[in-house]
Amino acid sequence: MADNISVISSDLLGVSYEKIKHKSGTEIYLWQMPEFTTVESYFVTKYGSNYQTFKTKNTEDFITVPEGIAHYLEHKLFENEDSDAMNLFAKTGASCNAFTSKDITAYYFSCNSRFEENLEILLKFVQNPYFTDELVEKERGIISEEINMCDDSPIRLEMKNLYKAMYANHPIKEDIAGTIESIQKINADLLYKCYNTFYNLNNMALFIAGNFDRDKALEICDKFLKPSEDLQIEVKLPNEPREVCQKEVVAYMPIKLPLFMIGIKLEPKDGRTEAERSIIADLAISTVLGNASEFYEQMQKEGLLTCPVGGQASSGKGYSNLVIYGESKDAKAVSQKIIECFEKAKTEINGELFDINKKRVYASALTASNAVSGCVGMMLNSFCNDINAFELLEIVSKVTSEQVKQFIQDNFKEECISFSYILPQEKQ
Amino acid sequence: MSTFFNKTNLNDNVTLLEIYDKKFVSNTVEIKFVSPINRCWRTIKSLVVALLSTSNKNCPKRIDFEKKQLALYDSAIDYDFYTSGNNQIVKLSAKFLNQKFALNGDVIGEQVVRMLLDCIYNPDFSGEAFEHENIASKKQALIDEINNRENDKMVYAIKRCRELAFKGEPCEYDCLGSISDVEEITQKQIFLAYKFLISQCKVEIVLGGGDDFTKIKKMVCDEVLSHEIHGAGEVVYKTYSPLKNQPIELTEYSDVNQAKLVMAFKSDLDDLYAHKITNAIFGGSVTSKLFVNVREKMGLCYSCSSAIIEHKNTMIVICGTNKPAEAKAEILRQFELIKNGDFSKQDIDVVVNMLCSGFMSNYDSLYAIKEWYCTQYARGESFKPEDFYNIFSEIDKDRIVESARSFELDTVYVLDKLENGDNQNGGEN
Repeated sequence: MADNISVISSDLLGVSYEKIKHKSGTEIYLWQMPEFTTVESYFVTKYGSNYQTFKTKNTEDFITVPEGIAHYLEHKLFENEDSDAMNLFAKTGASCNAFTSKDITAYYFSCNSRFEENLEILLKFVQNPYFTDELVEKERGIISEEINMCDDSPIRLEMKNLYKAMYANHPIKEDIAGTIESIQKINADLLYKCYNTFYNLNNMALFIAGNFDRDKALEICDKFLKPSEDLQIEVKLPNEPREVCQKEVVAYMPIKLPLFMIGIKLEPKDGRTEAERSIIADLAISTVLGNASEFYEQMQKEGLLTCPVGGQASSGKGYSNLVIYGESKDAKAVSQKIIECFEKAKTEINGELFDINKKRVYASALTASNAVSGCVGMMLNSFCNDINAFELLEIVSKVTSEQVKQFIQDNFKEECISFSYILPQEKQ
Repeated sequence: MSTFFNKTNLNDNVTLLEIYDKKFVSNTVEIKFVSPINRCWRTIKSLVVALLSTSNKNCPKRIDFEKKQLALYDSAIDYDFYTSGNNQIVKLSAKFLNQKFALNGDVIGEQVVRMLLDCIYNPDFSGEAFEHENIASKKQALIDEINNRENDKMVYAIKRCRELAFKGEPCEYDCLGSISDVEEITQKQIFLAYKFLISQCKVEIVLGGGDDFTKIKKMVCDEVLSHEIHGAGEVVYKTYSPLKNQPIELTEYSDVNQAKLVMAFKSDLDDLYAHKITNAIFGGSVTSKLFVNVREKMGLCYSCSSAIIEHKNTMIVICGTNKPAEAKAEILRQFELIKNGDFSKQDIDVVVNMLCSGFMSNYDSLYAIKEWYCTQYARGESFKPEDFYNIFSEIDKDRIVESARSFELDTVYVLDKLENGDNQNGGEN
C-alpha cells in the first residue's frame, strides 16, 4: 500500500509541511526548515492518563487500570532489555525526554547532528518495551518522589482541586501521575496490557521539524515502522453532567501570595469546533481581561493585580474547559470581579480591543512557525484536533466580536463555573 | 552559520552588541544599565526600570501604552533586573516583528523602539516625581514578586542557600530586597536612582533579530550617546566567592511534602571550561553520576542535578528528596569518586558531545543566541558555539580531576518537613 501524502501550506506565513499516512498506520508529519540548525522529532501515541477503561476488537470486555499507569509506562519505556534509551541518545549528543498528558504520551529528541541515528533510536526504543516486576518496582520510589514534588507545587494542587470540583466522574479529575497509593497496584503485566493496546502504530504519529533530509527520514520510517493491525480501540468514559459538582474549593499551603483559578466547564465538541472555540475563548479573555482592558487597569489601581490573568482552553476525549488563573493578595475579590466583567461582556464587547487582539494572535502564529519546537507544536496540535495547522489563522481572520459575545453568553453560566483557591496557611 | 555578531565600544561607557540572522521573524532591542550591587539602592533601581517600562511623556497612560504595543502586532516593552557576579543589571527591552509582516503597511520597529527610548530618556516625570498611582502599582508588583518567590519551595531553598553561601559579599543580596525595603522607597529616591542609571552606569546596547537594523541602530545609538555618562566604574563580572573555613549547614522546616536539599561547592581554580565538563559529569546531564546513582539506582529522588554559578566559581547541587541525609551522603560520595578520577573517557566524550550539541542549538532561537553572545561579552570572549568542539577537545581527564578537586563543600541548606523538626527552625552548625 502506498503512502498517502498531502502538503499543507500557508501563504500568509510562507511555510508548509507534509502529512503522510504511512503504510504502517502511523501518521507522519514533516516540516523542513533548512535555515535552522536543529531537528526535533516527537513519537506520540493517543494515550494519556484519562484512558483508564478500554478494550480492543481482540479483547472480550473492558478492563480498568490504576490511575497513573500511562505516566508510569512512559517512565519505564526508556529502559529496554539491553540498553537505556537516554544513554543511547547521550552518545549521539542528542537531548531526549518524554511527557504524559491527559490525552497523549510523547517521546522526543532534539539534535543538530546524527539525526538519522537518533530517529532510529527513537523508533526502536518506543516499539520495544521491556517490563519486569523487578524493574517496575525500582521505578516506584522515583515516581513517588515526583508525586511528592508536585504536591509541593501550589499551582498543581490548585489545578487538581479545580478539576475535582468541576468533574463528577470524568478521569480528568485524577492527577496524571496518579497517587502514591494507586501506583502501588501497577505491575509489568498491566503495563504490557496498556502498551499492547495503545502503542499500536494506527494509534500513533511521528513529527519531525527542522533541518533534516526528508528522504532519509522516510527510509528509516519504512524500515522501522511495520504495518500493524488496527485494533479499533474503544475507550469508555463515565457519563459526565453538564454542570460542575462543586462551586468552590479552598486549600491552604505555606505560601505568601494567594492563587485563584476559575474553571468554566464546556460541552465537548468535535476537533475543528473545539479549535475554533479555543480561539474565541482566547480572544474573549484577552479582550475582557487582558493588560489593555479596563478590568486590568482597575485591578492595578486597586493593587489587586500586578500582572494580567492567564487563560487556557483545553479539550480532549469527553471534556472541554476554559481555565482562568492568576494571583492576588485578594484572590476571591478578583475572581468575583472577573465574573462580573464577563456578565457585562454578554451584552458589550470592546471592538477596538477585540481588533488589536486579533493582531496578537497572528503575531503569535508567526513567531511559533519561526521556531523548530513551535512547528512541532503546531503539527501536534493539528493531530490532536484533526485540523490542519494553519486553519487556526483562517479561523482568527473570520472571528467576529459577535461570536465572542455569543461564546460568553452560552458558557459563563453559574452552574458551569467552579473556583479553586490556594491561600496562605495563616489565613486558615 | 549565517549569524552575524559584532561588538563595538561606542565610547568608554557604552558598548553595542549586534546579533543578526535573517531567518528570524522577530527582533529585540535591549538597553542594560550595569552597576555594582548596592544593598541600599538595589530595590530602588529595580523599581525604577519597572516604572519606566509602562509609560513615557508622549504616552503617559499605561492603558494607552499597552494598546499601542498590542496594535503593533503584540510588540512588547519589558523590563528585567538580575545580578551577574557582584553587579546588578537593570534592563529595558523592546521586541517586535519584522517589518515585512505588517499587514496594512504599519511601521513596526521604528515606532516600538521610539517608545522604548522615550520610556528611558523621556519618562513621565512631573518635576522630580513619577505619577503616584504608577508607583503604588509597581511597588505592589515587586511585593507580589517577593511573596511569589516563597510560593515555590525549591526556588526559596536555592535563594536561602545562595544567601548563606555568599554571606558578606554584595551578591548575598538579590535585586528585590524585602517587603519593607519596597514600602519605604520615596519619590526622591526614585528620582535619584533614575538619574544614577542614565548618567552613572555603564550601558550595554543589544540589537538582535532578522530585520534591517540600519535606521534602528542609528536611532538607538544617537539617543544613548546624547546623554553624558560620568563616574561609571569599571565593570568586573568575575569575582570568585571565598570558601568558608568550615562548611555551614542549616536546616529549616516548613509544611512541605518533600525536603529540598541545596548544596554549594566553591573553587579557586580559574578554569571555567573544565568546570563545565566536571559539572556535566557530576550532575549536569541525564548520564551524570547524580542522575544515574542518586535517582536511578537508589531511587532517592525524582530530580538531582548540579549547575555552575559562573562568575562566583561556585557549583550548586539541587535535590528534592524525602531522605536528605542519605541523598547528601551519596552526593558527596559521588563527588569524591570524580575527584579520584573514577570516570571514563567515554563519560567525558558523552558530556562534551552533549554540551557542544546544546551550544549549537542556540543558533535556532533569537533569545538563546543573543544570550550566548551577551555571556561571551561578560567573559571578555567572543567564541562561537562551534568553537567549543576544539576548546573542549583540549581538556583531558587530568584537567577535569584537577577541576573537581578544586571544589570544596561550602554550604548545605535543607528545607525539611515540619514533622522532622518538631516545629523547630534554624538548626545551623
